[in-house]
Amino acid sequence: MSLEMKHVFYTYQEGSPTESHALQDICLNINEGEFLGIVGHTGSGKSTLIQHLNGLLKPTKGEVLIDGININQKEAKAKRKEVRLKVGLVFQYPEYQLFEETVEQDIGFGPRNLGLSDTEVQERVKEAMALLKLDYKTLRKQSPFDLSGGQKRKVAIAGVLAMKPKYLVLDEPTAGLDPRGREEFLEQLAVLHRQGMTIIMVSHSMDDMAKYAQRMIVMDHGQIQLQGTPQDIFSQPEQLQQIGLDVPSLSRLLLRLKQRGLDVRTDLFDIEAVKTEILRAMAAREGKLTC
Amino acid sequence: MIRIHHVTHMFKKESTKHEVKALDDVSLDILEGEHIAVLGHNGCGKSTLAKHLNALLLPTAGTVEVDAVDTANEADLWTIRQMVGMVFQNPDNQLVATTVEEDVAFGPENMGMEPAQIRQRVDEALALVGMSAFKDKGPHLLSGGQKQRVAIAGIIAMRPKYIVFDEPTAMLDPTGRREVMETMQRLNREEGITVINITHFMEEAVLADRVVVMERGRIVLSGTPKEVFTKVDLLKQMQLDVPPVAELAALLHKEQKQIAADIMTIEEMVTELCP
Repeated sequence: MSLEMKHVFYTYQEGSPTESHALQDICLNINEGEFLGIVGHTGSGKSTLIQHLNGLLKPTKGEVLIDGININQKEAKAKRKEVRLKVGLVFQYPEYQLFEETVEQDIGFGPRNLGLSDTEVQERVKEAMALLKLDYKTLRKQSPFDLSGGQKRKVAIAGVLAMKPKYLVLDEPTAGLDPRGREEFLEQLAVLHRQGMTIIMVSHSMDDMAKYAQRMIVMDHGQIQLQGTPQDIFSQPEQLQQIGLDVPSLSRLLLRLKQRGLDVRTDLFDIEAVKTEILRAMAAREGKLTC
Repeated sequence: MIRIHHVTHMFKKESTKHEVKALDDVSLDILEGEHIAVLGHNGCGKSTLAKHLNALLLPTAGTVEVDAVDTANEADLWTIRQMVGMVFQNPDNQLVATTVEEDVAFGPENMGMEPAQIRQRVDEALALVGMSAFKDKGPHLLSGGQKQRVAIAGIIAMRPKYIVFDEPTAMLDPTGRREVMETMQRLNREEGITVINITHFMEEAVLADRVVVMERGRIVLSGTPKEVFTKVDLLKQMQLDVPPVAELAALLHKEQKQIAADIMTIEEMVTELCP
């Protein structure tokens, strides 16, 4: 089972003078259980791409398949709604979309619209809140607007989780959070991933990608320019820099050390691994007494 | 100089009606020409502190003086606001006009300035932030970083001595962040404007002359970036970010004492390891 994009093109305002090609021939297969990271500049097509994953945007050309079903095909119309529910999409600054009077009502909005019974809705709300370590008892009656920024965001995301998606797509979920909030949030995302949820995350933070993603795609000008494990990607710093993206700071350090003649591996970014590698390379250099 | 003298600020939380101490006996002198970064988690009081600098908030106890003018002095409110400009987080909330130059002219117009002088100030301000080419554009057509630079130009047109940036890059992508940081540094170095940057990003704090770390309404750490960021264990305890290179330096130092522990940047580390 997977999310699949086959030769997807997307053009904004086709045929008008302001026509722009946001996606060009995207082929992508996202397997169940993966943690996929998507990086790229603003305007590289990342957000356009993820909006195709649950049918919010229809490809100008090409196909999008959710668990084998082409969601934009007329014949699949009956199944479309059900299939789209498998993919939960969390937009940037999702807390701007909170609107209900209480936390419980806000998170329960989606499930209620599915026509579930009150007890079922309540169950779903409880479960979703538990997944993000939000305390049901103390928060349920509170107005979402009285919460801190980090909590508001979690409530908004809980609203998506309450729909029990198989695939969770997040567009820069940590933007604007403080370091503590960011760390906590990413750790919880990692827990969801370990419990079997497929995570697709758009982020500008290469350090976060290095730490959490199993596979990455790098987008530029509406195309996938690079893909592979974080190791693969970050050992090609020239290409990243050409696109105008950064590499994690420790990768940058290793590259500079190598340029200066210290014989280190450059495909590491975990701090302990980098430390060990530098110490090893220095010991080897001492042995040879050259730099 | 801005002198924050034993300032405490209390406010009532709407939902619970509890009194919260947002600032707890804070004292800080900000010197002319300085570039200060204020770090800390959400809720630590850094934005509350920022809003005291131009009398958007007044102390519950203690005083704030801008060039010896007490911010509690209502008669001097406009003098203070003109001296201390503020740039906020969300670029979309700060632009009011239909073109870039009209937006920048908004402040000077309200001061009742002569049209010729307004023209001059707007042109200067836009040149300083590198946005002259966009003067006839609608602000909605700009990127986040460009919008933030226009917001900064609007402040510069008022010729402030001090600019307080309240998480100006939090909503920007890496390119936008770089644009805003370069502008901030240029204003400080070349124009001599005092910069107070409230931020979560230690990459930005590293660029300041002095870093102030806040927690629970108090200043808990203050010093040069080097002094602050080499306190790796303490920062980790506070769950603040530590520059990865500083953390690596601390780890390397534990294993090999001859490697200095107070290294913060990639270039310093390269020099240390490959002299």
